[in-house]
Amino acid sequence: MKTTLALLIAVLMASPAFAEVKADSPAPQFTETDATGKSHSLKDFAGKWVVLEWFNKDCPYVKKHYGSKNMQDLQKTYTAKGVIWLSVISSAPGKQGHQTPAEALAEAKASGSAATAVLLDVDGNMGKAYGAKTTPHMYVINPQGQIAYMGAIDDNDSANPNVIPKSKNHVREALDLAMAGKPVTLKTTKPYGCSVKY
Amino acid sequence: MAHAISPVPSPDDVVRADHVVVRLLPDPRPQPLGLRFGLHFQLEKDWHIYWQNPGDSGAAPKINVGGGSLERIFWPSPKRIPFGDVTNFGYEGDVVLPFLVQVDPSSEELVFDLEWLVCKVECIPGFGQFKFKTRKSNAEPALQTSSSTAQTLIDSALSRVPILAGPWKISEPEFEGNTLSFEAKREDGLRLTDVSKLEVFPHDGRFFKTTAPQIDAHEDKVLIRLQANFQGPSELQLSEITMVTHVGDSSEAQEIKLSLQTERLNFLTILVFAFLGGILLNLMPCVFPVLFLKIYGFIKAFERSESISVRRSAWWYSTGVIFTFLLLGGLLFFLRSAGVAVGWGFQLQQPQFVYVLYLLFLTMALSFLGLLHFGDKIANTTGRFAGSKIWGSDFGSGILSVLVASPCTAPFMGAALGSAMFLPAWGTITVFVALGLGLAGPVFLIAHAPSLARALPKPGPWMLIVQRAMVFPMLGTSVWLLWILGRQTNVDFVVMCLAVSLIVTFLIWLQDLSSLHPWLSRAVIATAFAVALIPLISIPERDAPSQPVAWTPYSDSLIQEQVGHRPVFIDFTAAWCITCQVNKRTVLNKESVLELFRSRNVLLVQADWTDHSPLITKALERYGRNSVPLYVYIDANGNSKILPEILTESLISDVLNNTKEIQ
Repeated sequence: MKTTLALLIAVLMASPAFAEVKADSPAPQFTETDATGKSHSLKDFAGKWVVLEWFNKDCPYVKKHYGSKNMQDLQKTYTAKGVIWLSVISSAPGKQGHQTPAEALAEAKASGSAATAVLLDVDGNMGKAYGAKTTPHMYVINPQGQIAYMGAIDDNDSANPNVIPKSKNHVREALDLAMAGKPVTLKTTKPYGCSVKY
Repeated sequence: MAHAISPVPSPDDVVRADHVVVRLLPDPRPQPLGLRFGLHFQLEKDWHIYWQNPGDSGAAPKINVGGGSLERIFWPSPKRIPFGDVTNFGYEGDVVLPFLVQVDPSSEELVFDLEWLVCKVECIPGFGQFKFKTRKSNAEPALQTSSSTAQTLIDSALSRVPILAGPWKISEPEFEGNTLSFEAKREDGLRLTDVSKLEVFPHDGRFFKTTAPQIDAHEDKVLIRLQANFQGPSELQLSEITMVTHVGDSSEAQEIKLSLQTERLNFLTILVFAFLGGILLNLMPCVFPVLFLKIYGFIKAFERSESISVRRSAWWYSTGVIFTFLLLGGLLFFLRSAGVAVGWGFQLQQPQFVYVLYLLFLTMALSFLGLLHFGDKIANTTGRFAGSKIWGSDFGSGILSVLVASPCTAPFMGAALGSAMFLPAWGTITVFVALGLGLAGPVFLIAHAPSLARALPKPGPWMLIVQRAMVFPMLGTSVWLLWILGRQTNVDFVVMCLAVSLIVTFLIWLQDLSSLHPWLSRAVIATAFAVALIPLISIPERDAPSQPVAWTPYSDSLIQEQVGHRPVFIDFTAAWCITCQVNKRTVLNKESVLELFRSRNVLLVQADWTDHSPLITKALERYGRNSVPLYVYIDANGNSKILPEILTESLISDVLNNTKEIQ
């Protein structure tokens, strides 16, 4: 009885659903289907750098970074260095930003997205496991499966794309430092943007 | 995309955007240091905009001011707007955001660039621009007719802005894991059973979670528990919350500063610190020349056995000192309650004041060289005693002592002035009186203790030599004041001040010629005065400040984000603060010290308070201060230490090595 209980506690503690997602702790596991119908799990990317980007095509803050090509440039820069970039749509059916696989694929093509895949988190369980609050909410996961950075894309929460050249991009900074083996100075920031439409 | 960019406002100052109509309401009533306006948002049903802390998503409205600077937005207490897993703080329906603007002296028009986010479930950003003429040639009927409505709307919004001194008194907050708890008690006799609803809103969205605080009533007090994102302690020493009390249909809002410090000073200690700080001010380089001249006057008077007039003079001097401290304290209190973020030495943030001080020192120096006869009056004011029967000169030298003391912060003063902020009005005033007593103390004592007076040297020819020698520290002070002006403005302005000094000095020399007609002499003096006024009305914009490379300029987000990841050292400083400059030269910018910081990967942050800056004032408040210098070291675990006002190299290395407990 005692061992069963201890085992149960151990299992509960290990379960990501009970752990608070924070920097330097393990990123929650997920398995989601992308817009082309292919399934992706965090496990598949062990040994690689992974970026998660919460996406909603109708959110003005997402438009800020896509309209200015800022997001696509980031995606290009880092996927070229072998980083796995996953855009995640957690909008529930009928809610703003929800897309069918065909719509999501067309949108990615039209915007010139260079993401590795667009994940369709229709039931929102992946978003909730990560505690994703806004679009765009950004996560950087290191090859050991730990969170290296989580929070805002940059330091200016204006919806005006003109501020981008003067903003400090936190994701770029975190990736550059971490991939060079240096400690990330800024591991957590307050995300900004629209709420995720679960 | 539905961006509502409306660069040209319609004549009635309205921007019509998606789901919201925005109006600019100018408040016709004069405000200290600026103009007040209101932004009137009329939102469609179910749509909302955000509070200063928007909560889990969203963004607070932004106001960029051209032709002036935004001093403060007065945020009325918000509503909790929950949606699914997300909680926001914001406003629905009709809301007015009053704000205070400092107008640049040269500006004729204020341009407000606005950005807001309006949300229901989906969000739409809005942009708009308003213009406002600060100098009006003709009466503007539109403004006249709408002004009374504007006043009513602004006043009604202000009544919902949390006040600082309210009926709630709180206990020391305590941390337990991520939970911060404290007890609140009412002091106005309102029974808690009459309170229909109590709401608590944290101002800092990064430190506190948005989850509703747990509020439990126990007889006459309530226990409030807030959830923080971090486990204490934090680098912050202060965080604010707004408490809104609803009684029936009416409500009242109070801003509460939660001190997260572990140790606090009691009132008696604060007073003792203030008094000691005041005494030590006498030894500071800014006050010492004035003090010297005062005692110099005493020596002459004792020689003529005029000890009664010496005593009278000391009384008037002390009264002048205390009067000025009361005036400064009162002004500080008044400006702060009007929403202007100021602290000790705030008058030096105005270039006009620095210039006047510069002229004063220059004229004193000229008169001590014997170049200046009409300057005898000024010399009297500053301490040439000469058995003067004019009490005004002693009172005046008291005022002068305090004014020249403001660039200095003596040891003990920072802690006393900082704690004074949290006291009720009478407490703050008492602290300022204690400072005044300390500053006036030594002069008062010498005048009243014959044994001390006997220890003073006998008058003789040495006095003239010393008088002439005092010219040099005075000219030195002038040079230093010009340097401050250079930091506050630009090199052209400094050269203009020097040119004006040259012309004024020449005119003084001219009127001194004995052959001059009395009326001509008077005209020359008048011209000198007029010329001296020129710089006062031509203060230019400031040049971009040059920052030493090793130091990063202060910003709230920088500190909040870096803390806990690497050690941070913050230098709160100002060009007009002598104590700060001395520490910089002797310790902080020494290569060995910088190397020490580098070896520990310490982020060096400089918070420059030379100009009026609400941002830095607010940051100082978070560490329980409102004066510079302030040195804060935050280790990699987020524990903060406040260092003494006077630094040494070994102190810095002790702090970095964590071998010594500081305060």
